[in-house]
Amino acid sequence: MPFLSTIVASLFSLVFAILGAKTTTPSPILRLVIRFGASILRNIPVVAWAMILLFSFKQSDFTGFLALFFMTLGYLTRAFTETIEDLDAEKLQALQAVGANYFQCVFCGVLPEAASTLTSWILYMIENNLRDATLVGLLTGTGVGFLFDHYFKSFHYDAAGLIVLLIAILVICLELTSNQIRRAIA
Amino acid sequence: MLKVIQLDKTYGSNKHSLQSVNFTAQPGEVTAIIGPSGAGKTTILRSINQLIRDDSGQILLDDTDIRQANPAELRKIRHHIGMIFQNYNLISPLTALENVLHGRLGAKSTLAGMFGLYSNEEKQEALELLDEVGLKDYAYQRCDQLSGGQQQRVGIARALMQHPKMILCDEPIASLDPKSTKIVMDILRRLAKEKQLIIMINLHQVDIAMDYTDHIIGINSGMIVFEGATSTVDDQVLQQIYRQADPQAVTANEN
Repeated sequence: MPFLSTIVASLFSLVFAILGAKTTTPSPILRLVIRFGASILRNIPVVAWAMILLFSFKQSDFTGFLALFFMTLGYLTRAFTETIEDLDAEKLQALQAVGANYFQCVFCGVLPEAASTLTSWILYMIENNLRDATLVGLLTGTGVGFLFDHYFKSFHYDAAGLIVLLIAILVICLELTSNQIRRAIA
Repeated sequence: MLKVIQLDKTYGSNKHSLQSVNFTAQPGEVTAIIGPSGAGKTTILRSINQLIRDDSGQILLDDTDIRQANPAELRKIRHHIGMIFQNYNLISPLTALENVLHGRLGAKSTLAGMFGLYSNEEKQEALELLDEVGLKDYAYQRCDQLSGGQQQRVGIARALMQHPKMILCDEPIASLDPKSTKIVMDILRRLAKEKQLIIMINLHQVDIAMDYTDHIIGINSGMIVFEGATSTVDDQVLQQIYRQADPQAVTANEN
């Protein structure tokens, strides 16, 4: 669930970030709308998202997915926007000077230049969401959070402890792998 | 032939960056624009391919006015004007070959350009151009692993890939060591002669301008103060070009 929601959210974020970054936005008004929207999504805590979405989607995996999705969407849109704005605008001008149009500039210039930083952000977000998934699961009664809750409340502290331990190990492993990936693409 | 007539550009209110700039540049010749910092050299160069929009005047390249072109026409015109920069401005995680192929973007359909679908002939030509600038062995290297001089030569190959009528060079050697400077300037001079290109170069180094160019345009505070063959430039002319500008005008031009 944390993987899927991060990947789907990062695809949407990328589109929004390109439309919303100062250097690549087609219109300043759109830029304002995207920044504002992302800010709202980001600043509602994931716990609140989970509880709000519970009303609409009941206790299901989809609720957990959406809660993580919205928070990630807001966060990554902001991070991606800033990554794109930090790129050297002159490099994009050079492509314009060649006669490239908007889409060609984005695909041949912005994406390759930003790719390694964007990947870094996605990896970071997956780590983060894996941890948050426990909390969201607790609230929405799904996934690993539900298991933890179940064992905890039925006094099976040994099993509950094992779950916490497993999550910690999983997060650490993920962190190590993503460090490797980052080094490989840098 | 490039003919610039009565070009004017104002930044903000009353701050003249360019004032009635007139000059011509011939194919087969290397033309240098020299002058103090902030005099408007970059503004002139970037007005020619409309990366900077000027306020009024005419820029005629083979009798087509670049200023009157609509966006689609401008793309076509830009496709035939190469440009190289002080900071090279290559897409650094891509290979030298991919960067050279970017020179074809202006001639390709949107989709083919976006996804980098180049024909075998185009790839072959890009490799030949890299060979021409002496970088055959570096075709598959990432550009951020190349030295400054090598990156600038990739930039030249990218410009050549556009089948240009003209190449604009914005301080092409300002970040290069003397050896790379010589290599780059030699290539530019050879190209002008062999391919009958119009080559325009912004330069800070007067000695390089004297050694490598045929024609010199001297600019001070947004006005052309000298235009003529390089052989006619003497100390008196240089003093006139580099005379201390009105301090206020300099700040205005740097904004």
